[in-house]
Amino acid sequence: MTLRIIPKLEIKNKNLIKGICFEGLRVVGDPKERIKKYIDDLADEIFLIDVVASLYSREIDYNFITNICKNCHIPITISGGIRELSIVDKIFQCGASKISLNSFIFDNEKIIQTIGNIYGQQAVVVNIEVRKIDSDYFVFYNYGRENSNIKIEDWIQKVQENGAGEIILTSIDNDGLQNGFDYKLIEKISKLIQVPLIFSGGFSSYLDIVKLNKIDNIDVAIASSLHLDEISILKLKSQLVKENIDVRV
Amino acid sequence: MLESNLIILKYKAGNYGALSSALKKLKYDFLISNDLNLIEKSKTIILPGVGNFGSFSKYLNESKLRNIISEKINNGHKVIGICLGFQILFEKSEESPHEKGLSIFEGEIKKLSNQLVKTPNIGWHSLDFEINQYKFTNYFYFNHSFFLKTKNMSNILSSLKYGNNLIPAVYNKKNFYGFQFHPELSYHTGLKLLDAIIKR
Repeated sequence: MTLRIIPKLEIKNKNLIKGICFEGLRVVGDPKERIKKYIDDLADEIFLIDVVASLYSREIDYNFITNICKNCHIPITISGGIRELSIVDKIFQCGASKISLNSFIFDNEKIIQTIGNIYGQQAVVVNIEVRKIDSDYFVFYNYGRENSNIKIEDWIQKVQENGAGEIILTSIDNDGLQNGFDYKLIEKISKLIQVPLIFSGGFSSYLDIVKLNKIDNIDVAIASSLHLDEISILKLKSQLVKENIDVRV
Repeated sequence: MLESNLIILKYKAGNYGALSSALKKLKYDFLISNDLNLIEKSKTIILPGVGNFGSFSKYLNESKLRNIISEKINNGHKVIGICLGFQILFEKSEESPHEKGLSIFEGEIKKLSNQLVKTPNIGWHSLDFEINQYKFTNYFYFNHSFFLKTKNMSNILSSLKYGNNLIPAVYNKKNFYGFQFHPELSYHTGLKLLDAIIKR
């Protein structure tokens, strides 16, 4: 099974932004241009999230998404403010291959199965964003603003019980710092996750993936390092090949 | 009504945007339709991979498309089935035990075993096969929890070993082409594959 390298694009008002630990957001580029570059460089999927849709209770810009999806030809997951079936339908009409849920699942767990029954379980990704508080990890929603007071291990169990087909997990504390992954977090939860897992938060070099790969078969989402041109996907994949890590080339 | 040589079967789930953009990129004219007449007259139909087995089966019954599609395949018209659109051709599926498939080909759809690997099977796998004299050695994108189990392996052009599972990836009988992966999500290679089948 090849390890997936997935550029993660956080969008605010149609701009590509990047923060540190979900704060201090600054515009770092044009989403369409960057996506084209990443796809040409053999990105395996695209993960795009509107970071203010849930926070401001508004919907993602459908024309913008349609435009983004038009020339993709690889899987693209859209996330952000998905809180009704009508929104899910519109996003799929725009050309998305998968949608991702976070904030809406709290108090609405059954929505995972409901959407899965219509569009297929493979079309629904659960997005989990966590902060470390003392020695536990708590799940946050509304882009890191609200603490659900639910521990990561309990939430993982809950979403899997409700039919999550894939999970993307972000360590908010490591986000944007390019200082490596939170391996304690990964070791804590990797055995609990039975479905494919994408990890995000803190990627700095191919060595992080080598270390991750020793723990389990986990895929990777990368933001800062790619958007700020610290590395290209092509270069990263060639480094991983040298380390005998199976990637799509 | 506009007749069309190439039709994507319209299904309520509606997540076939990638398939549309793939055909547009390849410069094919096509319609997205569930009109019985148009489908009967079209040269090529694509059954997209959306939804689940049970609801797709019910939909084909309710819309009366079941018979038309079965006829087209048995009469040797070109039909392409992607993921669920491929699985529906068989007898039944563990995904929806109470619904029947089209039963055009022998076989049943089983759940992937996650003894050695994660399921669903999501990601890129390398395949090596020849179809219509085109050789493909490249990565294709899979995203599924169920797969075909059949006694008749002669129609399978390529299989994927995934943990304990032997997954038929490319199926061809008469003028039916079935793919367990998503060509429309498999970048240039996937588009080349679609082109090779449609233009033939």
